[in-house]
Amino acid sequence: MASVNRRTILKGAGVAIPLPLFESTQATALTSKVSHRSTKRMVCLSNNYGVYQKAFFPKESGQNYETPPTLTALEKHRRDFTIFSNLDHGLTGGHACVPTFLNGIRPDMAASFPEGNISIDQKAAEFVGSETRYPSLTLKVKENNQTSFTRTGVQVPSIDVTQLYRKLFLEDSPEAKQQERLRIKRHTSILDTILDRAAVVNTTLSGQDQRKFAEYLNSIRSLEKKIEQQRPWLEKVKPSTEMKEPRPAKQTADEMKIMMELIALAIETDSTRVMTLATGFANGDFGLQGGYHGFSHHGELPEKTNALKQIEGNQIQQMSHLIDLLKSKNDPINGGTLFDHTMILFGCGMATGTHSCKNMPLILAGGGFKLGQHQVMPSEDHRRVMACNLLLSMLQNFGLELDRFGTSTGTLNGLEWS
Amino acid sequence: MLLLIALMTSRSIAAEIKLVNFFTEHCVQCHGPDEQESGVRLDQSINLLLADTRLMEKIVHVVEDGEMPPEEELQPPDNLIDEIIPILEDRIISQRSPNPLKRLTRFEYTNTLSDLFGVEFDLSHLLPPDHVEEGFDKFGDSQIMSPHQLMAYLETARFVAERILPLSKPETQTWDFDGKYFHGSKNFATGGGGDYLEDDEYVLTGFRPYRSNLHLSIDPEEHDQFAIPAFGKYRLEVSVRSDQSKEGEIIGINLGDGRHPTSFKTIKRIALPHRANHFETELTLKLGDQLAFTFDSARIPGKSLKKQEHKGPSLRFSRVKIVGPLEGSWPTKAMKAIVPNPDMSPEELVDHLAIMLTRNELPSEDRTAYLNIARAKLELTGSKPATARSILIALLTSPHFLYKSESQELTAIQQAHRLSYFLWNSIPDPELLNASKLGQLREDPREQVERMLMDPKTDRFIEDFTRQWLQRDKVSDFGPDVRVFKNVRRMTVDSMSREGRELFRYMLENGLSMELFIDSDFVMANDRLARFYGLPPVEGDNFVPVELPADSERGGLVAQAGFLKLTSTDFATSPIHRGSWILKNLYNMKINPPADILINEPDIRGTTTVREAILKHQELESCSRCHSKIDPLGFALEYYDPVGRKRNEYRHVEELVAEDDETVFTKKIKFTKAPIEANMTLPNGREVSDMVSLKNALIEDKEKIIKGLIEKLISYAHGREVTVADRPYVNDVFDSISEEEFSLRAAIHAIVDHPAFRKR
Repeated sequence: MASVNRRTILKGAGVAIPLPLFESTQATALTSKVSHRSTKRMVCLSNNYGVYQKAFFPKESGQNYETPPTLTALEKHRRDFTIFSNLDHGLTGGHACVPTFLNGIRPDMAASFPEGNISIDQKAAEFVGSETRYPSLTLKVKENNQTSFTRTGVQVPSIDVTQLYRKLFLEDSPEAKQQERLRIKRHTSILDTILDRAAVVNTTLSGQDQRKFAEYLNSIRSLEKKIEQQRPWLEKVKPSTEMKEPRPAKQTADEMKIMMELIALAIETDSTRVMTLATGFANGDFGLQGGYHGFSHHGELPEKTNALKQIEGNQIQQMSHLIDLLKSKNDPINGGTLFDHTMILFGCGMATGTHSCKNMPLILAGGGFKLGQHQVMPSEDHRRVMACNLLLSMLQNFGLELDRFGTSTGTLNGLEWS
Repeated sequence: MLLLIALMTSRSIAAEIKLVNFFTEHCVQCHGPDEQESGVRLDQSINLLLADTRLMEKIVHVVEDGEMPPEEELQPPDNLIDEIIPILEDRIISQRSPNPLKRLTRFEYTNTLSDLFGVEFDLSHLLPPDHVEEGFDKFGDSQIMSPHQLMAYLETARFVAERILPLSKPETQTWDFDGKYFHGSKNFATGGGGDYLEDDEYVLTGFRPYRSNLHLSIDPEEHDQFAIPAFGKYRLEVSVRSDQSKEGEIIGINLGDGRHPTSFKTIKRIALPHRANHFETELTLKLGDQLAFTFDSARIPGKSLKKQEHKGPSLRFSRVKIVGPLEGSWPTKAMKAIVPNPDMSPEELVDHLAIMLTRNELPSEDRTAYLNIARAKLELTGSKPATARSILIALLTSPHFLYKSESQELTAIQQAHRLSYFLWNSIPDPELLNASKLGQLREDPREQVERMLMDPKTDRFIEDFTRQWLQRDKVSDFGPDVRVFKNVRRMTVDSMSREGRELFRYMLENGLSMELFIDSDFVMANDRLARFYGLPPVEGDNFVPVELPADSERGGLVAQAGFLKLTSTDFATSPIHRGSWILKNLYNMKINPPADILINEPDIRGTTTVREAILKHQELESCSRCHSKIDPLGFALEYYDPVGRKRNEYRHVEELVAEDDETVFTKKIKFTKAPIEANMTLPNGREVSDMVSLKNALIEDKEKIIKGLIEKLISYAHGREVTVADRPYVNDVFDSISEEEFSLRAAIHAIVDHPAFRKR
C-alpha cells in the first residue's frame, strides 16, 4: 500500500526552483542560444545481464518493423527511438564486459588506451564542468552501477533514490558546507602560491623547457578557474520540491518509477546534465521467485525466458515513462521539450545472459537525433561496426569536438538530420 | 679566430657539395623532379634538406643498410659511403634538440614517496597512469600536464600528507574471522555458487570472483562487509590449505565489494606452497578498503555446485586474522623525519622539507612563498604537524618536486637524480648524493652503481624497464579463448608475463651476456611455465634457471610464450605484429605504419590467403621497405600458436553463428586445419623458415641487436629517444663491453660511466 501512497504524492510533485537560479539559468540560456549549439543532456540506462535477444530485436529492419515483445511499452514513441542490431565492442569476457557498456574497453585493458577506460558519461561530465551543480550522477536501482569510469579507471560509486533525492534537494549541513569551503580554500591557496612562484621558475628556464613548463602554468590557471567556478554552487540554494524523500521500494518497478521522476527533475532543474543508471531485480518482482542471474541463464526454459521478458519489459517500460516525463516538460534553456535535447541510451556491455558480448542491445532515443527505425548494421565479421562509433556520435551531439572515443573507427551514419 | 671560422665554413661547404653530388648521382633519379618515391625529394636546397633531421636519419639508415640505392641501380663505392655517413651524422648531432623537461611518472612519484617516508603508498586511485605509444613513460615528450593531472597531484599530496602526519595515534586493533563471518559468491544476487562452507572451512573452487570469492562480514548474521577503519599497514594471518592439489596454489588478495566482484582490483598474489596451511603478509590499506580472497590458480572458472560436487583442487580457508594499523613507534619514523625537532621555526621547517623532497635548497624568492604558508598555518592552528602538512602539500605540488630539471652539464645533484631514477626509479639516497657531491659519479661511478644494483630497490628498475620494453603488461590483453585454448590458465599466462623480467633479472644479477636475449641454453621458469614448456618439473612459483633439453627450441626472447602471445589475438597469430615487435624491441628500429593506408591486421582464420595477402605488401614499393624486413621475421614464427605453443598446422577457428528466429548469437566453434608455410627470405638474402633459422639470423645480427638493447637502456635512463645523434655514445658503450662478453651489468656500468650520461 505504501507504494500507492508514494505514487499519489509523486503525481503532484512538481518542483519549485528558487527564482534567482531559474533566472540566471534562463539568462545564460538566452546568450548561449545565440552563440552555441543547444545544451544537451545524456541519460544512459543499463542492467547487468544483457537481454533475452529473441524478445528484444525486431525481425524486420527499417521503420516498419513489428514491435518485439520486450519493446511493447516503447511502441507509442516509435518515431523517437532507434534500435540497433549487430553493434558491439568486439570483446569477449562475459560479465567482465558489463563495465564496457559506455567505453568499449575492459578494465584490464585500460592501460593500453590514452584515456584509459573513461566512460562517455564521465567524458561528457568533463565537458559540462561547472555549468551544473553535479557534472554527472551515477545511479542504481537494486544493483550496482558498473558503467561509469573516470579517466584514471576508477569506477564511480553509484547512489540510490534516497541519496539522489538528497543530492538534488536537500541542503548540506552547515558543517559539511564549511568542510567543503575549507577544502576549496586550501586548494586555492596552494595553487596561488605555486602559480606565484612558478612564474619565477619559468624565467630561469631555457626556451624549450619554458614551452613544456607553460603546460604546467596553464594547468594551474585552468584549475584555479575550475575551482572558482565550482565554488558558487556551494553557496547557491538548491531547488526545492513537494516530493517527499523516497526510500528504496520493495519492488524494482516502483523504485524505478521514482528514479525516473527524479532523473526528470534533475534535468528540469539543471542540477546535472549527465546520468547513468543500472537496474536489477528483487526477489518477488512480478511474483517471480529467483535471481536475475539465474533467469539470465535461461537455457530456453519458458519459465525463465518469461521472467526475463517481464524484467526487461519493465526496464523498457521505465524508459518509456522517462520519455513521457521529458516530453511533457518544457526545456527552460533551449526551448522545446526536455526530450528534444536529452539523449537516452539503453543497453548493456554483455549482450545476453549466456555471456556472449556479441550484438549488444542498444536503443537510442531523443537528443535531437534522426531516429525511428531498426537499424541493422553489417553482421559479417570483417564489416562489423564498433559500438563506440555510436558512443562517439553521442559525444559529438553532446557538443564535444572529438574524432575518436575508445575503440571507435568513426561515427554512425544517418543519425544527424542534415 | 676569423681564420678558424673561415676554415670551418669552407670545410662545411665542401661537405655540403659532396652531399649534393651524392644525391644527384645516386638518388635524384627516383627522388627528384620526375619521381618522388615515398614522397622523398632530394634535389631541393641542401640547407633545407639538412635541416630535416628525420629525413637525414632515414637516409643514414637506408644507405648504411644497403637498401638504397636499390640493388639494380649503380652502387656508390664503399669509400664514398664512408665519407657521406659521417657528414650526415655530424649534422644530425649538431641539430639535436635538447632533452625535454621531464616530470615524475606515476611510478617515480610513488617510489619517491615510499623512499622518503617509508610508507608503501598505492596511489593508482589518485594519479592518472602515464600513457605512452612508443618508448618509455619517462620520455618528457610524451608526458602530459593538464588541469586534471594537476588536480590529481593536489589530491594526492593532501592524501599523502594526511596519512603520514596523522593528528592522533591510530589504535592497533585485531579482528579474528572464522567461518561464521565468511561469505562468498552464493550470498548475493548475481548467482555464484562455486564456493561453500564445509566443516568450518570456506571452500573456493573456481578462479572467477563472481563464482568464487571469500569476503568478510562484521556480523555473522548480516552481510555488512568488514572495511579497513584507518590508513596504515596491516598484517594478515590467514589459515588456508589446498585440497586435491599436487602443487603450490596462488591466492589473490583483492580490494572491492565481494558482493559485486566484477570490479575487483588484485593488489597482491600469494604463492601458497604445496602442503602449506598458513600465510602471513603485510599490506598498506586505506580507510574503507574491503578485502576479498580469490583462488587465482583454480583449474576451472567456477560453476554452480548444486548439481555436481566439486572434485578438483580447492582452497579451504578456516581463519583470517587482521591486525593493524601497525605502527612500530609513536611518533612514527615518517613523523620524526618530517618534524625532527618539535621546536623548529617555520623557516627551519621549510628549509628542512625542501631539502628532503627536492634534495636542493629553494631559491630565495620561492622560499618566502612557502614560508608565508607555514607562518599562516602555524598562527591559525598552533600545530607543528598541521604546519608541516601544509608545507608538504605545497612542495609536493610544486614544480621543484614534480619536475626533474637538468642543466646542460648536469650538476652533482642532477647526476645523482639521473642515476637514481635510472636504477631505482626513485630519488637518490643521502649516500649517493654525497658521493656525487664528492665527484665520485664523475670520476668513477662503479662503486656507487654496484652498491645500487645490490639494493632491492633495483627491482623497480627491472620491473619498470622490462614491463615497458617487453610490453609484459599486454600479455594478458587478449584471451585466450577458453574454448580454443584449453588448459592455458590465468596463472600460466601470468607466469608468461613474468618470464622476460626474470630473465633480465637473472642476467643482471649474474653479469651474463646480452646475447642470451637472442638465444640461450636455459630458460627462466617456475612450476607452471616449466609444465607449459614441457620441461623437467620445477617446484614453486619462483623462477629458476632450467636447462633446456637438446631438442628444445626455447631460449631467447623470441621463443618466450609471453612475446608470442602478446603479438597475437584471441584466436590468431599476427606475423606482422611479431616481425615488427622484433625490429622495434630488439633492433630498436623505428617503424611507423605507413600514413594514409588502412591497415588490415592479418587474420589467420582465413589462412589460405593470409600469406598471399601479406606478400602483397612487399610488392608495393612504399610498403616493401619495411615489410621485406618485417614479414620474414614474423612468418618464421608461424609454427608457434597464439599462446606460444608449438604447432604443426593452422587451426582455422570459426565461431558458428546460430540463427534462430532472426536472433543472432554465437556459440560453437568450428576448427579446420591448414598447412603452415613459413619460409621467406630476409633482405640480406638469408632464408628463415622456423624458430631455429630465425634465431640464427638474429645471432648473425648480434652487433645490431646488442646496440639496439644499449639504445633502449640509454633512452630509459635519459628519458628521450635515442637517435643517430647518439651513435658515438652507443658505440663507445658497445666497444667497452665487448671485452666483457656484452654483459648486461657491464652495459649499465658503461652507460653511467660515459660523459654523455652527465650531459642533459
